[in-house]
Amino acid sequence: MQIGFALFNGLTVGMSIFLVAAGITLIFGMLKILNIAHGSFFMIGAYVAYSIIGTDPDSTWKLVVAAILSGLVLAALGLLLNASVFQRLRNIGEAYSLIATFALLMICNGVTKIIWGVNYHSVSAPDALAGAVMYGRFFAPSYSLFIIGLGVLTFLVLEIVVHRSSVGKVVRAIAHDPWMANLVGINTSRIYALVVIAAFFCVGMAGGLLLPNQSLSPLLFESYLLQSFIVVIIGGLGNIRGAFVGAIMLGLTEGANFLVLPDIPGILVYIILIGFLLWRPYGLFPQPGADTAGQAGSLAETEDVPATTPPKALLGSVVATVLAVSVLASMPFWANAGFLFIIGFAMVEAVLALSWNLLFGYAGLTTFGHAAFFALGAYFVGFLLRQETGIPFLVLLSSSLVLGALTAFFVGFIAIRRTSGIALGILTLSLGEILRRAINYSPALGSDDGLSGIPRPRIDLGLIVFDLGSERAYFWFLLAACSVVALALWSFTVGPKGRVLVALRQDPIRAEFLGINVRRYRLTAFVISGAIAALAGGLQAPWAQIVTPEAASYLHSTQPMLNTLLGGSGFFWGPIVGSAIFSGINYATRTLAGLSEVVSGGILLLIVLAAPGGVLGLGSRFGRMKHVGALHKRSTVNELTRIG
Amino acid sequence: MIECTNIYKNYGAISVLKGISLNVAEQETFTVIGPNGAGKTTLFKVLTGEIPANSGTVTFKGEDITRLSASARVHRGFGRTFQVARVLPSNSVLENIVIALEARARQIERGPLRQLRPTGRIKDEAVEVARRISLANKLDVPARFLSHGDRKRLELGITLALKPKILMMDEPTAGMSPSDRNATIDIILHVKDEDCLTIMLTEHDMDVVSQLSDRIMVMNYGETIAVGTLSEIRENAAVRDIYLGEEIGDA
Repeated sequence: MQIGFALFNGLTVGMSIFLVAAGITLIFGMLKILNIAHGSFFMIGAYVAYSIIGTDPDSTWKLVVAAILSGLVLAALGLLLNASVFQRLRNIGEAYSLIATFALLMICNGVTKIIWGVNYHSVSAPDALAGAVMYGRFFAPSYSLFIIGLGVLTFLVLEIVVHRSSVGKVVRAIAHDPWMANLVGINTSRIYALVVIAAFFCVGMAGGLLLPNQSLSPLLFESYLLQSFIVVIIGGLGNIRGAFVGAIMLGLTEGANFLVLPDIPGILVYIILIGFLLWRPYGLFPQPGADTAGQAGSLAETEDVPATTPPKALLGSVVATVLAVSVLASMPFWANAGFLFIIGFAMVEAVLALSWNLLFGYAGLTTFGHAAFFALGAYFVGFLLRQETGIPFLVLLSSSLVLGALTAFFVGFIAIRRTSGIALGILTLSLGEILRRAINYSPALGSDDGLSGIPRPRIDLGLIVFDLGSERAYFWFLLAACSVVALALWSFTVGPKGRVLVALRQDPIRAEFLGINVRRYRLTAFVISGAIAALAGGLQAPWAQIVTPEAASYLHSTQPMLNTLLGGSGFFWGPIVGSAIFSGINYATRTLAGLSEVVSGGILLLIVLAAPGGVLGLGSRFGRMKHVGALHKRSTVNELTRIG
Repeated sequence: MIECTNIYKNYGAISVLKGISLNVAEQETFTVIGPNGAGKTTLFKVLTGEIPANSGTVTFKGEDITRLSASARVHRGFGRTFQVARVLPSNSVLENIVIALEARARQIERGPLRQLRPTGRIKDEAVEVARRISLANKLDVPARFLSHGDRKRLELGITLALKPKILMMDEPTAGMSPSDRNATIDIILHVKDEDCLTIMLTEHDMDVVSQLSDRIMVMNYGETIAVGTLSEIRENAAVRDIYLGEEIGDA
């Protein structure tokens, strides 16, 4: 009986996720863009329908009509976004299009908060669907049956359109080879637009129809996002049948989770997903061209790779660095406490972003779970500081470094061997989510509330004792620590090892045939990056004096990406510039809920579309224009000396 | 020098190599020819370790290297160039060569490269390599701005920087203009002589084949049709059949 119930519940969950996943699948299958924002469009669809019918729809028809209307609204939005965003995303690298859709997600969530507020609403099912259907000893809520029916219907319609109709034939042809399709006279742009509109219509309608299924809040986007991703990945990116099978599998796994691990809901899915990714990284029904990781340079497509040698004129850089550090060091004397607090955070985030860019900009690996390492270090240091174990603080920090390195070694050893591209991204994202959930359900780590009241330590060096108890003292310590880490990382990247990483990012196969063991160097980068991320977490715990499970969430994982891209991934210092700008935006827009997301997201989207080199990339582009002019005048012999 | 026996390789249901065996002698130039889709490139990938074979063995100087990774084979003396030149697009000509030289230095001197900048010796060596491939006047140019022929030459340069014992070249003159092609033939003949190289290549252009090759292997549909010197190949009826007597006759 209980098994039957879990099974039925699982199916309901699976089908409701399929309704969202179908749109992601359509868009990915066609445009090769993994639309992270789709969960947010689902949420907007739900809000639009809610605005039409309110909390108590009195008939099923009203719900359906509202859902169709919200589907139309979303379709119009899709048309708009296709022309302004998606069209442009087709020609840029995978990682950049992922980040652009993430920017869309931020904008959508921000706009939702501004328009509809942050309160929870709950919509009840119309009377006709509120009851239950009895079948012997087994009873099923009619609304669940309605969802299952809807999922199956959607699947059948899509299946028939894609695989049986003449439009479907064209769609499949374009998905397979857009260039060729264009050559034989298919108007690919129009078909792209059609698919995007269809996907948006579906998701808008799903948002409306599933209104009674869950409460409505600005967090709604999240509840479907990760799961529909999982479905899409399991199915083999871009395959409707795969998504359908994947949705059923996911639903059943959720059901099994309820039976086997009722204390930690939702964790089994991630465990199975990880096993699945390692077993079949390209899904159940691999699609041609779904994973572009093999293509050289497809992941990080900036014009520039970071410099691989120290600049010839070191003096200028030294002066700039000293200046920046002294301005920061003087802040406790003139900045107010709130601002100082944010600057402290920004410094830690900058270190986190530097460590992420070691993977992205140097080793060519895009990971989505970097916050997990951060949380590992933060909880480790925070927990032990609270216990007042008497372990010296510097030992704690070094241990967090080692902990991060070891974890990264184990994760990387398996992950880098088996996956690349999108699969690696989703794998790391899942690991992060597992950690977050594990923390969420660990009373020893404070569960949802996290660890608060973390004391600030003293550093006893025998001769001198630094008491870091005050805000000011810890700020200086933080500044010193972050500067040392950044400098160490910099000297690593401009040395011979950095040159190796830049080589294998540009072309792993060429690197391999230079005798560079690509896997080993990627693992090295992964370990260093994980260690520094954990250290950043360890540094932050006493600064914030609180650590929450949010530190491990995928939203936090995206922070280093945003910082890096905003500043410019092709520059070692890019992540730091990005962190500074983002913190500024957050500080300036902190008063209105949602506004900071809209502004940050908007800027990020603009950067990706207009200036993929980031802020520093823009600067160097102008610089180069002058430089090219000068180059022509110089004789070639002089150029030799410039290489350094 | 390099030897393989009974190599089988299939991509899913399609079998691309069906029991290829060959043996290249020291300082020989061995050319694999065959129509498009014959499996030449796949054979190269298997021999150089880019992809694993389904069955069969590859030995190099008597050592079984079937299971070694591509980079490990490079350490043993493999140099590889590709049909479409693979260079580091965002790095300059000089940096490309420096990275290759440092990769080699890492293998021979076990101690890590300590200083951040490339050493003076490596820089001098890099300039010398650039001179050999006639790119000394473009040291500062990012590789993505090079012409097709220059890029091919740069790839040869960074491969030579590794001081290989055997050079595996997949269509070294593909897509080149006649003058570029002649220049490339000259360079190959030259470096072969200077560095005492064994060379294995695939090629479509029969001019190039006849000028470079000591022995030729003809492949079709993943099978060996014939192996021998140019004149032996010319006389072979099965080969004439594949090529309709045209190209071979002209050469």
